[in-house]
Amino acid sequence: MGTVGAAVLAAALPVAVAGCGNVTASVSTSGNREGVFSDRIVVGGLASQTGPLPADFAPVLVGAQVYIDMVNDEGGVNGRRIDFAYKLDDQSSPSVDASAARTLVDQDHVFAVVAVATPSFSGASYLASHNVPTFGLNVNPNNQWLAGPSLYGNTGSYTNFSGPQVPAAFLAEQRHVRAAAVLAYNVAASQQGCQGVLRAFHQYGVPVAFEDLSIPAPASDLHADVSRMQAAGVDMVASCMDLGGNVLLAQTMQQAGMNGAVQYWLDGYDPTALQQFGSAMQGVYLLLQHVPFEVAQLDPGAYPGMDRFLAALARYAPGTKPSEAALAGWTSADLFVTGLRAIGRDVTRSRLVAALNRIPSFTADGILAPVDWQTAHRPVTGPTNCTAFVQVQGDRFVPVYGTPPSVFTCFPVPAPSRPPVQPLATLPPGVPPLQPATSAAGQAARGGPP
Amino acid sequence: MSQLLSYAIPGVPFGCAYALMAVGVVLTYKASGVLNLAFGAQAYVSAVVLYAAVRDGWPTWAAFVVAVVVLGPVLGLVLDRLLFRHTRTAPPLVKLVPALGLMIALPAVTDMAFGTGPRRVPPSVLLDPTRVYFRLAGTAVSGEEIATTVVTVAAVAVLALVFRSQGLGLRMRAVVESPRMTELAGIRADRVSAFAWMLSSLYAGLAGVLLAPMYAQVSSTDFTALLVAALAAAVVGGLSSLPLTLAGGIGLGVAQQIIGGYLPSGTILSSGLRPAFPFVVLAVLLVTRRTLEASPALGDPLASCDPPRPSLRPPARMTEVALGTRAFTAFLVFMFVVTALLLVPGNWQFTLTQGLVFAVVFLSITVLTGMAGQISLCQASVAGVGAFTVGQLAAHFGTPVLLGTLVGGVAAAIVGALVSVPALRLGGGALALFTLSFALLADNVVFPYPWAGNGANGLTVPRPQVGGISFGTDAAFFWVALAVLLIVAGAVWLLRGGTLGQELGAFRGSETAAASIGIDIVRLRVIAFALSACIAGVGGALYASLQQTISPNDFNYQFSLVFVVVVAVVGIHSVAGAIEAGLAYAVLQQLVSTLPSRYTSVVALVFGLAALSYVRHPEGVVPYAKRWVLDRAEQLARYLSGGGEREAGRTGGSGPAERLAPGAGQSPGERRPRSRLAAAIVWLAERQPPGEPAGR
Repeated sequence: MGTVGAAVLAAALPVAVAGCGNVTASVSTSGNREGVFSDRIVVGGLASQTGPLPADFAPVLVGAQVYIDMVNDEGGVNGRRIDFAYKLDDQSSPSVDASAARTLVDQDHVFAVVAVATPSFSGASYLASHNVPTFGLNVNPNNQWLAGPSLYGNTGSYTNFSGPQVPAAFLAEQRHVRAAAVLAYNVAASQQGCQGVLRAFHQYGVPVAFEDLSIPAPASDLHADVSRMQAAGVDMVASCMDLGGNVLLAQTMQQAGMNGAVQYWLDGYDPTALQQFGSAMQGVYLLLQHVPFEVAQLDPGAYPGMDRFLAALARYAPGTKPSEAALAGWTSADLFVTGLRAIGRDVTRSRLVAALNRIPSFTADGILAPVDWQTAHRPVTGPTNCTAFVQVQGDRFVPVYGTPPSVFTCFPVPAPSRPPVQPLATLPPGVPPLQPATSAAGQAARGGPP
Repeated sequence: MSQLLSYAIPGVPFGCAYALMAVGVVLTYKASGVLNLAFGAQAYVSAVVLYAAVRDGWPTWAAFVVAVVVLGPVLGLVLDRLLFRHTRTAPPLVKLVPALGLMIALPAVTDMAFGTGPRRVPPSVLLDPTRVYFRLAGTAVSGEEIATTVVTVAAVAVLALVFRSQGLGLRMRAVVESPRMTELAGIRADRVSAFAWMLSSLYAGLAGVLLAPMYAQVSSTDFTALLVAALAAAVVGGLSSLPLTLAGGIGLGVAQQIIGGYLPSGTILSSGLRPAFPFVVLAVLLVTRRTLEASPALGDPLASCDPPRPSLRPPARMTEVALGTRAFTAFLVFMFVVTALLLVPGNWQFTLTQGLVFAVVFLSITVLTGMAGQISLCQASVAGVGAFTVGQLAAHFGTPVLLGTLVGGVAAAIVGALVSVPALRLGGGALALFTLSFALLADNVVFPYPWAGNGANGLTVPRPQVGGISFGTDAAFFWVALAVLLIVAGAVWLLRGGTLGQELGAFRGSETAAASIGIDIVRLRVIAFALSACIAGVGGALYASLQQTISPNDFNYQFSLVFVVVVAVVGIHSVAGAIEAGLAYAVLQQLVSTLPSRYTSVVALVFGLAALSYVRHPEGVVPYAKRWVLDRAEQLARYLSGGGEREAGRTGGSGPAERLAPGAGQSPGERRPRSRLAAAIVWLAERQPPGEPAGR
């Protein structure tokens, strides 16, 4: 290209783009009855079944399939079976996720996407713009689940990942922590979680003796951090790393003789992992957004949803261990079916979305803290924040703390700005168990940690 | 002091893990001049096999024998025979691409064979990894640490001993420099290289099973990440000295621990410097170590005995064939547009648009690597610069996307030029490593900032609007992508034919020769990097607007590696190659997303295997196939037009005299078949494939 050509091009381009603007998003409702037949409703799913962390995402499809199998065996919904026909894999790639979401809508003509779990949900805006009811695991800190009123994250479509983590400060107060440490990967998703922990610690006066939010992922050596924590006299460690990093942390702490310190992990609630890393995980506290699987044994009947989940998993997917992703698939399918039941035979996307967005308190039959779908599409939290603590004791996770008679501990939102951190004395309405029960879990909750 | 020791002591085994990986890389680099970035993938294969065997109830020693002692050398032998034996005196790109292909393909094959499920708690071969065996200056020393240190030191010692006593090191270097000269001295070059690869692959297996217990589960990304961090250690040893590599590895490990121990926590210094440390060291070493400046393949002293390698024969150019192919190409382009707009469902429209956008990014590789011969492993990061620029401008200033795309291109060009300046003296493999270190710095340090890629939150980017026309839908955005691609492709095409293109070609051929005829090499290199980065930036910005949400995950270093493989395989020297590569990449990924997850690795496998074929067809698989088809077409045309001049197409001559008019060149004595079509088919079937250039 000659100099003249370059000059012409350079001069022409700004002129050409001068009249440019940007498009604002709009919603199309053209495919309102897509995938609905007289005898069945076709739905799809989208999960990262391959890539760096398939175990964290792929089971969402199993959980949803199990729920749908159960519903179909019970005769379907209003005379229609649910056909979970398409399960796509975005290979953990953002560009594939965007095209796979379009495949579900344009090529497979699904009515709804009932199970999503992926690290980068690039397809969200497309699904929202076509008003496709979409359900799944909300682990995406970029708030992609807020893209439209037809997207339903498992614990609400908004999660303030870096907001103050009041439960962490509560745990620190309960255990009379004098010097806390906060560890995260040099990865934004991990850092944000721990920034929330730090914020809560600062707010409630928990002394932070050491923080390192720049550990290279994957963690391969944590000696320097552990020996600095030891030197600083740390007696509580909050970790926002993944399971692998957390296990390495626990092992390195054991080797260094830091056995007495309280450990609080954001990732690691996995019965399979407990079998494998049991000795490293002893005494560790974890925070859950749902009732623990263990309540089915501790407190049979108090949380019917959890009982049904475990029974259905054993029946329809024998060999699959319960996991948070599988549970998210189950509660997602549950919300979808709840909406379908509400609208009767006349099934359209708009009617389904409208019906779901009128549900004031969804708990998946006692599995989740209530989600108010009238407000859960907006970036607001509150009025309460209910989570469940578990602690590793021996070969199982045991629910601890909790506001009786529930395993959930509920805090007001916004939380009072000064210590002490006080959970609500009485359960907010709708928090499972729905009826008071004098239960083993409740007693465990009242007893606190050993 | 005791505090310092408590940081330094755990650094030694950690550094030994680096050293073990680095030694393997040095070994193959010495033996075949190949910068084996697939070493981590080889380690992964052995770790997975060991895991699977132990899970199935094998005794650990038996599993170790199979996974390391047998599988390691066998894999090395296969790689040498099939691949690296043929690349010994090849240019750096031809050596690099198969290694990158293996890096992608080996884990894919392994996952298809053994499944993708999480492989937690890797079995340990030597000592209980978590048990504390003794304390050193108050610091606990675990079984994992003892095993890593002892085995690494022993492995390096054995290797050094073998090199010294058998003169193996000398032979290896001789083989890399000139296999024929070495053979004249009575040494079997093939054996030396095969031995080196078997040994290196054995070391990869050893590293795999030894280092796997460092992590909670066996994953190929962990090994690749470890290898990339270990490259700095290999560069400390100048990619040749084993003791220095060991020292470099340990030094790196200890330094990282001490930095982790003393940097004030919770400050920008610790959050910025610590993750970047190995890559900063790598970049600084590459720039400052003089031994790495010149390409290690200084050239075969016997090279002058050969005539220069013939350039590839231009494809068939009989008038009818040329016209026919042009018409056919035009038809294909027309059909592509029609298909994309009318005949396929919306998701395929989107996928084809993605293909056009990837094509723009890939054209940056065509310019930099195909035209200027400079290898860059950071093109995805540079595309990220363009993408984040357009995203930030739109978010903060409401800048129109198309204007933002231009600004993104300029920003990327500036970054590209800045990257090229410290690397001015680097060539081949060293340049590849330098650009890779830049990509890793971008991933780990720059892109997570809110003002750049905004970490996991990413950015939301709108679709453009021109005047009253909205390009909000996928179908409308197709036109934007097509227009941008046509502009960029046209610019590259013009560039190729112009003075700058000629200069770049000369530069690619020989830096020295280009300098000797008065071409300003420094200027040219900076221009090549800046131009290529500008194109990548424009492509990245376009990608951002297409996807509408982007985050640093879209542009991590692994994409840079994949991009180079894809473009090199499909055709790195032509504009058409980049476009075909973009479309193929998008379409294959889309096809695979509907397969059961176990077979998703098939795309990785396809491109990985294609990269292996690159050794035989460095012009690219598609140009090779095209040439093959065109030759057939020309032969058929010749035959149909008279049956003579069968050999004209094979000799390389294609001057005006050979442009046959229909009916010309018919030899009177030739037996004419009764049915021309039938005869043509028989005749085609008897033909050999068209000749490869001589000297292969």
